[in-house]
Amino acid sequence: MYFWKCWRETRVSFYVFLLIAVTLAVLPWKIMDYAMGDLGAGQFFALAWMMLVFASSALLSVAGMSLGATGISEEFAHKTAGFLLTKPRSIRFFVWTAWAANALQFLALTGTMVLMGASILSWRCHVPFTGRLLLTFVPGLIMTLLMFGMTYLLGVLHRNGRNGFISCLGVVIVFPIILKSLEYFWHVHLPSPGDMYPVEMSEMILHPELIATLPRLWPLVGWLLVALACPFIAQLVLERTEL
Amino acid sequence: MNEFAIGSENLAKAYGDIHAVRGINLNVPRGGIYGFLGRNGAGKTTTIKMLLGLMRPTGGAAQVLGMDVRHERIAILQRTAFVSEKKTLYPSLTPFELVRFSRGFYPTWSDSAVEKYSHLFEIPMKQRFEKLSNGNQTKVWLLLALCQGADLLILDEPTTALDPITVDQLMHVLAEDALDRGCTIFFCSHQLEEVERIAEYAGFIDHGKLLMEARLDDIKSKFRLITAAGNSLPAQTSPQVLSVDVEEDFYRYVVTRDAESFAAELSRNGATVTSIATLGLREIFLQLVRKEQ
Repeated sequence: MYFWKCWRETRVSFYVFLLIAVTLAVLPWKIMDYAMGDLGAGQFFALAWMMLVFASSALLSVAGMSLGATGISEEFAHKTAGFLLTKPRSIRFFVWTAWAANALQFLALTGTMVLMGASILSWRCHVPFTGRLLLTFVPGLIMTLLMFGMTYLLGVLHRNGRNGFISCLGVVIVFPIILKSLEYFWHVHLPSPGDMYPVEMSEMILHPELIATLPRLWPLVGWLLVALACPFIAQLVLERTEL
Repeated sequence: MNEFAIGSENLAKAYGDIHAVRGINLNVPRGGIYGFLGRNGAGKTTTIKMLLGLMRPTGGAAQVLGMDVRHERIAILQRTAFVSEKKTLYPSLTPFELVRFSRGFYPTWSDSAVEKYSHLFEIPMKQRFEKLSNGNQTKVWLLLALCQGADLLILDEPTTALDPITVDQLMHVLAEDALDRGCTIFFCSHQLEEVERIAEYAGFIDHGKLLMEARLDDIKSKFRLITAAGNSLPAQTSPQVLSVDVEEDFYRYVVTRDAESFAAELSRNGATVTSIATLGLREIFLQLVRKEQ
């Protein structure tokens, strides 16, 4: 029932994001066709594929953060927590149900955009659609899943989804600056979600064929675990919260 | 404590130096209506939140339907219906959808009760909750609580924003339908007249302390206002004398028991006892709170 209620409250934004995802999945091919139709098939594919990877990361970041902001934290913001938490279910049930309802929407958006975009490009450029190519999306997806989880957790800490969204946005902006500063001034390298990418972005733009390079495994696993730890921490926080 | 629907021993809640509830001992018998009375900020809602597991007590223990509030929260909530003081629900859902939402949580849910009470209270079932009037929002809360098939109904200010006709219907429903099912009703309010109408038992709370708890009839039969005229009559309170008002040679005593013997003693001291009157719940409550202050 709570799953249904979560879906009921986020379905409009899900449909909007789905529409944008479908548009963005088609867009790289159309833009490339219009602007660089005279490129060789290989280079055309690599550039269009890279555009799709960036577009999916950008859209899914926003979608992830906005879905993360509509979880159980909104029960506190709307003052409905007193109603919900007097239902005979554990807090763990509510935390994970809200997370799962939003995560499923997030995965549906991801699947639609990635599979649709990749299929179109693969068909247009006559390049076989392989699992190895799909792996290029994984770092971006884990990054957005991390932002989804972080917004969810920060929303619970603030007891307000919107504040969670703003805080996560702040972290996304400030965290890389801190990491870069540490590295530049003190030569300290802390683990960063950027470690998931096999090559630097700038390098990838200059040499689009590098897109097929496999991402690094352990940073992927590590940051995936961090993303999944966020709702768990949210659960622990809520179990200690009083209304 | 098991013969009671709600039982507590020295139940306390403190926030640092602020003591919201100061070791109360509640005994709410099963199958009756218990009026939990107190002023705003007396500790009523905090007590309820502890009973429902929404707050952790800082001292003492409590049991609801024989189950410990600290460890059996879900089992308690399975059999307890609650109407909150703040009548907020999901703004975009209609009462119909709220029923659909709540139904899945309770195996004892009654759809025939939904039919019955939605008609009785005239609830617009297809209008979004945020568009409903305050009175109708309260009615939705009551509908959800009454249809749950609970063994215990905890109602925190359940008549907020209700018109007199609906209040009357609600009292009728509580006094007949709910009690017929063997349900215990814990009615928390500062509307003393409403409680007086239906409650069998009453507990008075003020500044986090339970001032008194007893059968309502016993309270009303024992408390008396004695008016006497005379010189130099006793003007101090005692365990028997709750309050004394002196105006020239007229003394007004509120006594908590043995009014006849107290009046006889006044007569022996040369007083002329002009009347021995019963007191309503309101007067009793006011006297108790004034004494505490």
